[in-house]
Amino acid sequence: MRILVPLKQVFDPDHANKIRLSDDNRRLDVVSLERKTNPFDEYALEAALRLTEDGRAPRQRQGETIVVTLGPSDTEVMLRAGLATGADRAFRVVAEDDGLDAGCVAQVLAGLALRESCDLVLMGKQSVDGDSNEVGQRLAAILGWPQATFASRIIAHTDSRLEVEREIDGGVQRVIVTLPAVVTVDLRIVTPDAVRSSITPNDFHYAPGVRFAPLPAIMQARRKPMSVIKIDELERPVKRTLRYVRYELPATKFGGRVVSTPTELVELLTCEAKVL
Amino acid sequence: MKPRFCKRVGTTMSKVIVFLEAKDSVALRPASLHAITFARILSQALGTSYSFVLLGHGIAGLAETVRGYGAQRVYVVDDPLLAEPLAERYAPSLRQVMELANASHILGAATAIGKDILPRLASLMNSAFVSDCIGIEVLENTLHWRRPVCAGNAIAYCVSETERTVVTIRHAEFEAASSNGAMSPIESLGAAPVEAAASRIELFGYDAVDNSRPDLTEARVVVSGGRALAGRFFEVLGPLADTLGAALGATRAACDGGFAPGDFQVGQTGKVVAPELYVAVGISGAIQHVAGMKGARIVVAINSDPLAPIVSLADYTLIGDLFQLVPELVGALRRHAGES
Repeated sequence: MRILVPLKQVFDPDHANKIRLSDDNRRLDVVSLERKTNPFDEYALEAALRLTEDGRAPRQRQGETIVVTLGPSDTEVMLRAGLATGADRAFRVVAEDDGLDAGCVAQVLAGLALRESCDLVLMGKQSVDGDSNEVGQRLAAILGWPQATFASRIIAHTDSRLEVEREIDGGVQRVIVTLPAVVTVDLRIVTPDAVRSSITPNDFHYAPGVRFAPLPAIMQARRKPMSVIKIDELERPVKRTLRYVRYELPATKFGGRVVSTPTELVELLTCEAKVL
Repeated sequence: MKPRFCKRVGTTMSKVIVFLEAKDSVALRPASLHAITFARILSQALGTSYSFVLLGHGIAGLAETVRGYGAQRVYVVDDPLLAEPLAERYAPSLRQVMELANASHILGAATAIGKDILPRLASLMNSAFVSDCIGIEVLENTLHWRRPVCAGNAIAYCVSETERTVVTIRHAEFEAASSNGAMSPIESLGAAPVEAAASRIELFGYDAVDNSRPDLTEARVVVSGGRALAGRFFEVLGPLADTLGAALGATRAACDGGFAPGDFQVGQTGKVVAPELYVAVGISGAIQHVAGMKGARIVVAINSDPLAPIVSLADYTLIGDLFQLVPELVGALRRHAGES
């Protein structure tokens, strides 16, 4: 199984409350914030690695995982980290963030998935900066592939059939997808029994969370292939459909009062707030 | 230059379609009523009308119930192919209705189904997609869509650059629409051919969660708990939720810790709620959590730490041991209910 995992560099979501706006309100000023890989994409990479190994012997790779990002050269650090974690190859598509929207990103990923004959695109359900939850669905439509969004569990029945559990309103839906397909992952995809390849035994349990690269792997990752390509090379119709024109910071709400007893709280909720 | 229909307000092609979501073929998902309210706001700004589209199998009865909400037309596609809301099946039929109605906009609630299907539809139509919209603004005759980004720490304004625009609505931001009496005509259509990809995805099973409590995203009152509740999550919060007729929610840490099911999670990466009353029990108020509940009208915090961020956000705070305060609050609520 050859899996493409798109990674996006975002600013650290734990500092999202430190966002400022540029003087003309046309941009988010995030220059001073630390950068990291979009957490959902890290989970997708972990899921891809689990699908391409026997959990008991993860060093022997049983398929191929390709990581890709669209961005300037400083995003290569993130790709190297992905290679150190276990991905086999990396692509950086030269791009600046400003000119791209989700539709453009989906076109570029579609071009690469076809060129590299990928069987599966496994990706985060959303980025934690744009929050739009859109690229995976668009990508599936462009490729004419089935989509399984918000996956909380992926079990490979064979190398080409996946059982995917999706967290939806009011319950969990289980679908079977035949590859090639696009799967977007939710948070719980990195729990111990969430992802299993067709060769990992049923009684094997992963450690919770994503794996970390051991030091030798970080050294070896420098020798793994990383290609830098231009958008034009993929020959896709990349055209923006949505333009962000300005931003504002949300109104902040300032605190209410500390109440001394539950009885007083019930009175206030009844008489003042009128919610009971 | 080609005119930009969607961008300009009040042009000939302006027409709004609302994707209504059926729940088990028999009821309308309440979130759809909130989407209708948004459709009224949008169609007023555009100087146009709105119509509904309802997809499913065995939905004739349901179609009757949505006729009273002021739609110009109710498009109904009742077909066994559409029994399950899979994107590869639904998106082509939605596109067919857009073309037939010559519509400029299609919108639906940002539910799991809406978020799954509508971006795929946008791609099939080469259209812009606006995710999680919370409002619109008309500036210099151009429609600006407002949407939260970065876990709600900034609000973006965007402009569609395509003839058609697909939108999901953060339904908690809008009131539920009420019926206004007039009876919309129904137009029945056959399903459009499904995408080729539909043959490579099949529904295999569905596990509904216990629904004795109201749906989290639609509840008037939500009681949420953090990791501090540990293994006593349901024992402590259950009686409070029952007394208030509330839905139960949780922080990501409580879900990850296995104390609450995953679909309880409120926050940027979970569900976004905007109830009348939100009771945060043992929740510090991390920004990812706050992103999912800051639309609540009244927030009550019960916390042992007076310096927790949630305290500055809450309207009312009880400081102390939650294992003692929550049962006391249940007692006070029951006494209050007995009096009134």
